[in-house]
Amino acid sequence: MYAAHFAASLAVKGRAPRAPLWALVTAAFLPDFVWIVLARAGVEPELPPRGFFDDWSHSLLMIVVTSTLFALLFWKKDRVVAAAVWIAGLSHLILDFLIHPARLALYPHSAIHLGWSLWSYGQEKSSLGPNHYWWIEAAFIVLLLAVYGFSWRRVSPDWRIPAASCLLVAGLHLLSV
Amino acid sequence: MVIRAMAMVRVDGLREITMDMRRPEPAANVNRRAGGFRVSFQNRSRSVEPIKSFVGVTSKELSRVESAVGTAEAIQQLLLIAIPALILILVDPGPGKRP
Repeated sequence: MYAAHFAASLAVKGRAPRAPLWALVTAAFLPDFVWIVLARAGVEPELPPRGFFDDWSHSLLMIVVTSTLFALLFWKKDRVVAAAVWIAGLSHLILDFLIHPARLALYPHSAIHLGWSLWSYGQEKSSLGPNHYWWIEAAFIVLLLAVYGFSWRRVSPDWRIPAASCLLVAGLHLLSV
Repeated sequence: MVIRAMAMVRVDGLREITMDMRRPEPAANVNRRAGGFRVSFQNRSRSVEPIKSFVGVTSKELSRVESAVGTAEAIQQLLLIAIPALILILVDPGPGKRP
């Protein structure tokens, strides 16, 4: 997922306004950052002959470890912020649990894999145009942005900032059709 | 995340390879330029052998293309996250600066 990770960051931001958005977005994309580096280094191949492998960046254990380490950077400053950053990091696990090119390993090179195997179903074209993956991600984005929007309403009557943020995330998802 | 990345490498004065990869179903578009003609070939077999035989490149030459694609892909992936993130941060600067 792509835009859904931004939506997850905003949802956490809505619940924990003190948390800096850059930290939440970084945490939400942390496994992807690790994956980009490892894929470039050849540790996590995605093509034949070795096939798709992302246990070091996207296994349950590694997501928990990287999220925890990143959140610990904020522990001394503000524990609420650290918790928010940790949750933003774990949101990557929840979102990828549903649809991912391969089911998530429990730990690197583990034989146990978790998550729903919806990847093939997700690639099928739906009767409404985009594939099922796009619609599933859209549903999560709507849900997460609703959390952000309603949380914002409790602290400020000004709807322009959340509306602009929501439009940006929705636009990103529309661009991926 | 569905990513599209392209890279072009000049193999020699006559041959250029453009590789176009789209995750999770990679495809390679190979263009061969020779004598003013541009020939395109799309490889959907997830194998590099058809590319090698079509363009007449060696494995070493092809690995240069793959390496360039990998770098382009990594940069593109980082920008795809960094640019929207930067805009979001500018839109919602934080609690102290919120209206």
